[in-house]
Amino acid sequence: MSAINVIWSASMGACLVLALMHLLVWCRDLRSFANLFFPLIALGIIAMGACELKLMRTGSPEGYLETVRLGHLLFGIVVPASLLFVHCLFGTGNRWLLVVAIGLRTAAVVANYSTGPSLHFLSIGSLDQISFLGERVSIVGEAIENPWVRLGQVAAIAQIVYVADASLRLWRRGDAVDRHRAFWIGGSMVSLFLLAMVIAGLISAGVMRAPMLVSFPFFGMVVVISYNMSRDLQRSALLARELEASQRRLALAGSAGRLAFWEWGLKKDRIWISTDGWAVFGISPAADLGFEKFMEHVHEDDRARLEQIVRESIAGTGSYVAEFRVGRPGEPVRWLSASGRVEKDNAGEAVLFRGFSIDVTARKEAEADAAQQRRELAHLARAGTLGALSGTLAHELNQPLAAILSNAQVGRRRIGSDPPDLAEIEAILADIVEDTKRAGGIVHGMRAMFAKDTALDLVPIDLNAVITGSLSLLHGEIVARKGTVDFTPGDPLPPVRGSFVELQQVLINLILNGLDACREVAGAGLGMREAPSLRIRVGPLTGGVAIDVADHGPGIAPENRDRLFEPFFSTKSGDGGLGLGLSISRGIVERFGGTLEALPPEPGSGAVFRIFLPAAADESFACEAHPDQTILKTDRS
Amino acid sequence: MEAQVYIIDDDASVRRGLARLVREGGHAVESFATAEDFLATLPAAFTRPTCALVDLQMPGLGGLELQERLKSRPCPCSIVFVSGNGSIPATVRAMRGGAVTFLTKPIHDEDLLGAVAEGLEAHRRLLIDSLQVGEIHCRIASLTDRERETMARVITGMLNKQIAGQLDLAERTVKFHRAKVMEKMGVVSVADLVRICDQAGFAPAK
Repeated sequence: MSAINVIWSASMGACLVLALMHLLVWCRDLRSFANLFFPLIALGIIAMGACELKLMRTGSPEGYLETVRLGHLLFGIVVPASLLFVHCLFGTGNRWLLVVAIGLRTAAVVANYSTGPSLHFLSIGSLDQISFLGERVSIVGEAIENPWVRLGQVAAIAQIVYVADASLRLWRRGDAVDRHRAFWIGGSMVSLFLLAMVIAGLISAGVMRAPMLVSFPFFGMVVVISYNMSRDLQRSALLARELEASQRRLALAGSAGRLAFWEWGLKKDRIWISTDGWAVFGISPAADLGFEKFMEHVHEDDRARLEQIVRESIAGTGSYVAEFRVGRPGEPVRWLSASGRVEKDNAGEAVLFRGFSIDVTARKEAEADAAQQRRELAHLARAGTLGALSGTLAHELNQPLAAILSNAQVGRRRIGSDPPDLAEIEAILADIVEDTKRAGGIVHGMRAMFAKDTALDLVPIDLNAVITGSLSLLHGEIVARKGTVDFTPGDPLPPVRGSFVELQQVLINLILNGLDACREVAGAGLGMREAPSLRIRVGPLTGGVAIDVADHGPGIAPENRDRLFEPFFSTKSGDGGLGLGLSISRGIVERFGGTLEALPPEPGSGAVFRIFLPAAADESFACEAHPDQTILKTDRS
Repeated sequence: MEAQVYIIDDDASVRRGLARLVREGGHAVESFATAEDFLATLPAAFTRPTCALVDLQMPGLGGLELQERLKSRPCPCSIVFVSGNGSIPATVRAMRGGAVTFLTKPIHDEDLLGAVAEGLEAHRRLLIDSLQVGEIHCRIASLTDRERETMARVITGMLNKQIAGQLDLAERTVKFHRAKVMEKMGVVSVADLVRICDQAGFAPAK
């Protein structure tokens, strides 16, 4: 049995198996080009090994030259495949070096066919027979070297430089896995390329009398690369196991927390939803779910808003947070909270939208309940305040009614006179119209304050109008208490967001508190029976509008400052109230994104309360008209 | 004598409406927004029958305080209180302070004009009475000291003899003074003299 045959065949067989393995991997994943180039390298080397076998067995110089030429062609395939393999696997190679190396190798192949019988030899005079591994094999005897063989050597140097450069870069940049790869693959390639070059050079120069053994270093290279690549396979298996576990954990979390994971491929408009996620959206599982179809399941009132958020996420920063309702007409409505991220490809184009959605219906319902209760409490407080003011409000209402009655009676008498004084009757009617409007305004204001359901949506509001409205509701009370309130509506203010009635409630509360505080001073018998006087100031403050309500009362005792806004805390004696006013007021203001606080005391002055409300974001909103101005359009003209 | 009605109310339209109505009743009307304004423009004394329509609740000086201030003047005008919501204590105070009546808004025209008429009549009587008292005072002033001393005793029902004893005079002299008093005071009987002295607040001797 020939040892040469056994060694070469075994090596070639091993190479073939490795080539096929990687070819199969590539067939599964067409984008992994490294797995395509590796089989090319291996197959090329197998063919080169076959050429070497033939060289050893050949008898004539012509046959020898032909086989060398074929070997150079095969080399011209193996080298570019190796370089491209490194390029794909490392991703750090210099493109120009790659082009130069491949170009030189291609030029060598061209020279192989154009400058003589082969790149190595211009001619071979005779072949010698030597003993190699116990067999007689042919080697080159006398030959004339082709000067173009230097081209092949330059090409070999270029490819070594390229691989060395790519490996060094990977070594510098990479983590442990990359370094391992740079060292083993890059290092083996460089050294084995060098070895092959040296062997080929020595043999063609006639220094070394041995058969062509170029494929052998390359067999080594294939083994090293293959071993290294198999580490990838190992890692893939490990990752696959981890991935599976992680998916199970996610699925568990998903089903436990009514959580849906989803991915939306933007190119093909396909939405993938985790197994338990379909139920969260209330959609029956379908493979071909697109965005349009998905939107049909979103509550119709939320569709436009959600679509806008999604478009903005894709066009903008790529992060996405939304709360929306799902449920088609007839289905129970549920709230979902979603967040996600848009992933972009290298060109910056959005390709994938990934995220998760949670069913937050229970939370939303609890929030709605709490809000409802807060509103009911505020309403009760409002009704209570109005109840306490009923006497003075009746007085306020009586004033226009008294005027109307007097005017109407005079009018009736005038019509009876002969001739009727039409000018006077006209003036009388005009007065009646004005007073009716006024009475209507008061009733409207009271009814708004009594109304249980204030608007849920916050609207832009002019605080000047709120203060004026509050003072007009309180006019009778202030007069009855012999009080004065110093307030002049100032320049137009930026609108704030809130509910007119509830802000009015807060203000009425503060004004009544202030009047009460002044009464405390008067009641304390300090000698001066001073009339209660308040000062209200309103003006823009960084980012919003502030209203200060200042009284001349005893101020707030330091030990009470912290407890002031606690529910059921009251310093008023007797029928002073439940102590809910400030706590409810603060609740209202905070619901509108503002603050209500007692300013630090200043010597010689009473308490100062400050309402701060942030300016409405969109200043183009026209301010909501004061309710008093919107009723009774019965104008004389 | 033409009557004068003042309206004091902080509410402008109420003032206008009431003024129209009162004018309709044929009286001269003047309106004020505050009690302070009213007091500032008021003449030293009322010379014609006057009635003030006063709102109970006003900023600054209120209706009841105004009533107090007016009472310190001679022959205070009548006051008719009007209010949107008069409490019982306030009503009682107003009436005890001599108000003509207390009307609750809205006020019916006849009630208002009736109350105004009543108030004007009351003040007219007061003025007339005060004119008469003035006359009596003039007559008292024309008496000599002796005559006044005599009169102070006559109206207590003392006999001439007793008066003579007290004043250390002859009974004849007392008789003479007494005839002078009756003549100067323009009365014919002791009963008349007692009445007008009482009216003028002339105190009898102790």
